[in-house]
Order: sequence, then C-alpha cells, then structure tokens
Amino acid sequence: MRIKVGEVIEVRGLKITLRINDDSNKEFIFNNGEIFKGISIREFITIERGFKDIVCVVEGEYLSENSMSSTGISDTPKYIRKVEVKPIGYFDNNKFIEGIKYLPMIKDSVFLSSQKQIQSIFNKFTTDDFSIGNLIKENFPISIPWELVFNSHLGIFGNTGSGKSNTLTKLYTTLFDKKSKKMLGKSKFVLLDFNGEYTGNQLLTSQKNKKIYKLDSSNPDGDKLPINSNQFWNHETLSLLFKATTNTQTPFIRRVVSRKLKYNDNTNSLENYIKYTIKENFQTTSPKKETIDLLKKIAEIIGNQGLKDRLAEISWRSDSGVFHHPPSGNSGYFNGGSSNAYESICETLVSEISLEEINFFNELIIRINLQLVNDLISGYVQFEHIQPLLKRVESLADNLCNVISLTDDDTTSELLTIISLRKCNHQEIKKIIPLLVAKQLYTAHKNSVSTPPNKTVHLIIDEAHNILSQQSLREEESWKDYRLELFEEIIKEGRKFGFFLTLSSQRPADISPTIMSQIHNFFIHRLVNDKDLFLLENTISTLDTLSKNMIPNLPKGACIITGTAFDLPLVIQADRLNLGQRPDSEDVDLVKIWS
Amino acid sequence: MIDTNIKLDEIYQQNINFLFGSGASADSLPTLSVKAKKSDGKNHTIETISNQIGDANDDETIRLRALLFMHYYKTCIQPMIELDSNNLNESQLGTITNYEKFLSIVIHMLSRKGANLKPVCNFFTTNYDGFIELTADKILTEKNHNISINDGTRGFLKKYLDVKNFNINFRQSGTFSDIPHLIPQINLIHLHGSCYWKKNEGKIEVDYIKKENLITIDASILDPFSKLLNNPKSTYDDFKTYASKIDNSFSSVAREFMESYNKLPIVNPTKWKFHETIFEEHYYEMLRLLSYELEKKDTVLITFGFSFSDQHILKLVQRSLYNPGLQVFICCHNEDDLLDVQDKFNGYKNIKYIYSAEKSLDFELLTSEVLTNI
Repeated sequence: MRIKVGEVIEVRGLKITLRINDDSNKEFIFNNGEIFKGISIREFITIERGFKDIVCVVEGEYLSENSMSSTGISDTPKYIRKVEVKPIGYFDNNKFIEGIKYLPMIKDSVFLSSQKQIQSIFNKFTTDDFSIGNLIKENFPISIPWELVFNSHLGIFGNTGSGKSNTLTKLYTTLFDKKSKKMLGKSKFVLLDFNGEYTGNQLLTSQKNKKIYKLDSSNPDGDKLPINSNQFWNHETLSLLFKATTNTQTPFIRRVVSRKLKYNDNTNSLENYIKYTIKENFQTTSPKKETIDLLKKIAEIIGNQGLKDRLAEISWRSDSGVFHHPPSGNSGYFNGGSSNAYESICETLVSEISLEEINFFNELIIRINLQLVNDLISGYVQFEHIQPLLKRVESLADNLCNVISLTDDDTTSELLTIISLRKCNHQEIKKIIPLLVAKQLYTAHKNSVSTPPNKTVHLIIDEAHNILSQQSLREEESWKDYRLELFEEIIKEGRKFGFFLTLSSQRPADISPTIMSQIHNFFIHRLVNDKDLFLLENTISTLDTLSKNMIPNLPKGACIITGTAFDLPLVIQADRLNLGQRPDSEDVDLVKIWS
Repeated sequence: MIDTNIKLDEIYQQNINFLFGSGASADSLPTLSVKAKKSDGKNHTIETISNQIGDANDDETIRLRALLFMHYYKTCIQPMIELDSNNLNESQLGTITNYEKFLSIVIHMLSRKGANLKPVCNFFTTNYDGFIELTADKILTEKNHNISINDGTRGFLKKYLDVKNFNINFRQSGTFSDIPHLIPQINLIHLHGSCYWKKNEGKIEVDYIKKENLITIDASILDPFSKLLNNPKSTYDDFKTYASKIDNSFSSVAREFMESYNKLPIVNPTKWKFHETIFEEHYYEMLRLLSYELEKKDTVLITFGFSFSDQHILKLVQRSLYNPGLQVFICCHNEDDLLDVQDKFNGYKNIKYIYSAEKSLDFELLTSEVLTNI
C-alpha cells in the first residue's frame, strides 16, 4: 500500500520541485498498519516513473501563494506546499540502486516511502548483521558492509569528547565478536594507544589472543616491545633514529653497521673487535688523545673494572703526542712500533676481556665507540663531528632500552596487540615506537604475503595526529619526511598487500594531506574547526552538502559514515558500549571527585 | 503484530481515540465474574448467567433474573453511585491516580499537536462509573491545566446531554490580542451510559451532585444468593432452586425491582439494549460518533481494558478497519486476552496488539510504560 502525496511540477536538472497535495505536515502517517514518515527535510520520497521508483531526498520546502482559486479570484490567498528534492537512486524490482540514471517528468506521482523501503535503501548489504548503531533520523539499526570496510583504510575523526574512541571500539569489538574465531592466524591487529585507553578488557574479551604492552620509558622492568634486530641493524634506521647528519655522521653509521654485518657470523666478533681496537690504539704511530676516553667508556659498559682502572692511569702527553702510563715510568710510553709498553701494561688485561650477554644498545654504543677510535686513528673523521651523535645515542638509548627488546623472531601469533604509550614521557620515544612498529609490520608482511594476499595486518592508530602530523616545528626535516613517507607508502601501497590503517584523530587538518586523501572510508564525528572542515570538504568526495552541514552540530556519539563502501552518507548514532568494554576515556566526574 | 509500547510521537498528530472498558476500573470496582462454574468448567459471569436465564416472562424467570440483577446492582452499581470523592478508599485513590497520569499524558500530547490540527481527542468508555469525571475535576482544579473536558452537556442549573455538543470547541484569546488559539479538549463519551445520567422530560439530564439510590434491596433475601454465586461448587440449578424456594411475596418485589432497574440509564452487561427510547436513541448516536471518528483519515484508536465482547462495538470496529488510515492499538491484559482478541481480529493489518510477556498490562503499566516515547 502506498500513499500518494503529490506530483512533480518542475524538473530543472537535478533540482526537482513537487507540489504536495494538502498542507499536512504530520510526523508519521499510518496506512494499513504500515508506518510512513511525513515529508520534511532529509526524508526520502519516491517518484513513480513507469516501472522504476525514483528515490529522492527532500532538500527544502516552501509555500507559494496562489490567489487564483478554481472559481476565480478569491480574497483569501491559497497556499501550495512545494518541496524541493534531489534524486539519489532508484528501485528496480524492489532492489535499491544508487546513482542517478532516471529522472522524473512533470506530473509523475509522488509517494511516501515506507519504513521498509527506507530500510532497504540503507541496508543494501544485510547479508550479515554487523550493526554498530542506529540511523539517527530513521532510528533503526544499520548494518555496515564489513567486508568492504575492513579491507580499506579507515579514518575516524571528531573533536575531543565527540565519541571517536567509542566508535572505534564499537567497530572493532563488533568485528572481534563476530569474526575473531575465523581470523586467527590469518589477520593481525595492532593498536597504538597513546593514552592507555584500551589496556583493560576492551575490544577482545578473551585475553588469550590478546597481548598488551604497557610501555614505560622510565622503568627498566616494564613491558618491552619485541623488535626484529635485523630491522635495527640498518644504517638508515639508525641514522634517522639518532638524527645523524648526512655528510659525516650517516657514513659513519654506515661503517658501523657494515662492519657489524661483515663479521657478525664469526664467534666473539665484538669481543675480538674490542681487543683489536685497544691494541691498535696503543700500538699506532699516530695516537689521538680523544680515544682514551672512548676506551674507558667501553670498559665501563662491558663492566671490566680492571681495564677501566688501568686506562684511568694512562694519560696523554701533549708534548710528545703519545699516551703515557706514569706508574711504569719511562717504559710507560706508548709510542708505536718499537715500544713494548702495550704488552707489559695492557695485554694481559685485554686478553682477559670476555663479554657476557650484552644488550643491543650497549652493543651499539660499544661499536660506535670502537668505530670512532678506529676512524680517529686512521684519520678518517674529526672527533667533533661524530661526538654529538654519540651523545644522542647514549641519551636516547637509556629510554629506548626500557621499552624495546630485540629479537630475531618476529612472528607474533596474537590476534590483537595493544601498545600503550601512556607512560612514554619522552616525546621522541612516542614517535619512534610507532614508526618502528609500522615499519616492522609492513616490511615483514610485505615480504611474506602472497598475491593475492592470504593474510592481513590492520594497524590502528588512536590519536593519529601525534605521529602523522605535518606541522611539527621541533623536528628536523629529514626525520619528518621519513616518518611521513613511511606512512604514506603504507597508505598508498598497503591495500594491495592486505595492510590496512585505521586512523583516529581530533585534528584531521594536522594530518598529511596525502594520507588523508588515501583514506577510503570515514567516520566523522562533530568537528567545529574551520580548517578541519575545509580539509574534509576537499578530501572526501562522497560527502554531500546536507551531511557536511551537519558535522559541526552532530550530537555526542553520532557520526557520518561515508566512503567507498557506502552508497549514501549515513548519519548514525553509535551504540554506547557496556561499562567494561568502553575505552578509558570517560569525562571527568567532578560531582564524584569533589563530593 | 505484537508490541510492548505505543510511541506517542508516532500518534500525537493523528485523530486520537481511546476506548476504555471495565479493565480501567478493575482495581476499585468488582468485575462481572463470579466464582460459580459453568457446566464446561469455566467460570460463570453475570453475563453468562443472564444469557442462560433468557427472556421469558414467567414468574420463575423473573424471580431469578431479579435476584441476579439485585446482586449486580448491589455489588457493581451501588458502589459507583455511592462513590464519594471526599471519602475514597485506597484502591479508588489508585484508580484516580492512574487516570490522572493518563490524562496528563493525553493533555501533553494534545498540546503538542501543532498548527492546523485540532487539539481534540475522544475518550470513549463503556464504564458507568464516575472515575474519569472525578479525575477530570481534580486536575482542572488542582493542576490548573488549560484544558476543556467536554462531557457533551449544555445548560446551567440542569445540564442536558446531546451528541452535537461534542463538536463545540473553546478558543482562548488574550484581552488585547487578536490571535485566538484552541484549547486542548477531551470529549468524554459514555457509550453504555453513566451513573450520573437520568431521564428528565424526554432528555437526558446529567447531574454530578445528586445521585439517587433508586432501589433498596432486602439483604436477607439477596445475601444467600450472592453467597451461592461466589461458591465455586454451585451450579445454575442451585440458583434456580434458591429462587423458587423464596416465599411468594417475593414475586411482586421482583417485578417492582425489575421495573425500577430497567429505568437505569445504562446498558446491561449483556446484549440487551436500553429499555428507554431516549437512552436508546442516544446510545445509537454515540455509536455513530465512534463509527464516524474511526472512518476519518489519520486516525488512531487505542483500547484498554476492553475485551470486545460487546458485539455492537466489535462489529463497528471491524468495519472501520477497512479504513487504511486507521491504526488500532489493542492493549491486552494477559495472554488469554491476547489470544482471544487476536482471534476476533484475525486478518486485519492495521492492528497492533500491545502486550507484555513479563507483566500483566494494567492501568499502572499503561501510563508508566506503554504510552511512552521510548
């Protein structure tokens, strides 16, 4: 049963004007037990054109005065209710097809759309019930096409407190609820959580397939994130990590790394290297005074007190340009070739050096020191050029080694990994960790995936502006470029390999436009900033004017879903999660605190 | 379709009609059921017994019928007549509170109806009791609502009832402003008569002050009969035997009683009609009013506490259901009611059954959970 309400009186391109029969503006109309919604802005109506029902959305309404009545001129003006609509699609054999293929003609009849029809406009994909909320105006649950949403890059944007985290959590909680059993071993989800909002029971209730790393940069006993060591022993990574200058420091690091890789398979390669370098240092004919401090540092790191004490006794004689060991008197001069000073003073101690298990950063520092000693002796470098690098490595290494551990095995079997950076107070660590994680995941996945992809990785970045921002003034250009380039590569190429990003942010304008333009599907919450709105306008092609105008006024928890997976922008009110499943980002309850 | 609530925002702009039955007063006034059993094991009601007695005019039948209606008068009508607004018991207060909540919801709905729509709704009831009047009076004086409750009467000292009066609306305008607005209005229509009605010179007079107890009943004769009615073991034959055993002088008492009883302006709980042409005429007028309302476009009928055992109303509603613009909501007290009503309205699309599987749908639930916006 249908309710005829009017007819088409004007078709001007895509702008269609209808005359509505009576001026009824009831909210709901019952007809034979079915409920219809009256005509108002953003409602859907259907226009019958032969066997096709053209679906239009109402964009405006007005009264036009008509002082001519059928009997002649009447005193009281008569009004005609006119409604402006825009076609969005059509029904063919009761199936909704989006897109303008048919346009109505004058005098075509206009009918109200029943709730069922509206439901079928939106629920094109109801093969599987995957509902995250209700349509805000029509108020019925909407099922999103998960198969098209999760194989694309997602963006969740909105001002703080607008319900972003809830939407993100609801989306993935629903996914895990419905599919987690079938995803095991095939997909990996990694969540970068800057504020520690997801370290409880969120997302995946079963703790079995979930691993939470609570990284704490100031606590040596905290959780440590395993990073593949191969990835680390890479001059590019290291140069970026420690901000090496291009001309001198980067080649230096390259030498450190290549030396390591060259001798890596030998037994005790580092131990031998230390022994060799100390020997060289004291037997060279052109010693440099800076090297003794470097050696002392190494002795301290490897924990060899005897060697350290001995080295402390050695001093630099600037008059003759050699090292001297005063307790040994005249025979204590290390002046190259003829002198036996090294054998008598150091050799026994040096030969006793034996390395225990040593962590990555110490090894790195040792190797840099060793390389520097060797380079100084050979006259390759100026000490002043390399020293700043050494200091940077030392200072960052302290923090870094609290949060990461190196491993040779990078196959984590967990379905969901949550990396909480809440306690990483060091700004640089906050940027380095996501980068390392992204790089490791991406390279490992890219190298092992077959075509077409048989497995996927989903990297979820909450508060993505933290690391995808283009406007950081403190950073060096090269570092910023590298950081963005990595993510840009992921977002440009990742889809082909089954590597997907989910970004959530309160400042979309901060995020690199390249990244923004590659996102396929958007969940947009309330945004008021002009810059953000402008950016959305220019990057999201699927957003229509009506929905766009709603963005600054959306209620809490409501969002506009648009993108490649959706025919029409949907305005939904996301379901609020149960207490245990909510992200820990609740508003502060002052009433409770101050009671 | 079965639902648990009626969404006010979906119905508020429609032509709203309520149809209330004895279920609305069930807390304060006894219903028609008695404890005696029928031959098939089900409970007798006053209705079934009177049907069994039949229309015959012989002495024995009249005695039995008189006894039955004496009982009915004593238990159901007399308490209504004696209902004293200043001296209500707890259950009566409860009923009034429920009516109060209900009327508040209705007034709220009417005041939201919007431009171009008359803020009027019709309240049809098959009850003769005065609860709705008492409540209406209460909210008008205590809550100071700007609302008009139209009982269909006109007159000063004496108020006479006429159906045409339901078309009268009040408009209010400020002393100096030219823009009048319609005051929300509830039409009270007693389909089966009311305890406030009486015949006066060919018209129906409605008097809310004087309520006369028309009939006095000899308790020594009636009480044993009432006991019989409420004894689960007694049968129809027991009633018959009791009626015949009373001494002969009762025959004339019985005739006298029936004569004055028939003057009561109420429709009996059977298929019987008014015995007075005036009342009968008005009865048809009111049914026609109901019928017209249900034939209108965009109309909603909500029934509560009404079992549709009255054939006239059942047929009338069934016929109106062909109007595609009518939506009927039937509130069912329990599952038996639901099955019973579903059976009566099998095949009609525009009916929604309101029923709660967890709780029995009483007046309290109607106002608290059924008529909501959630």
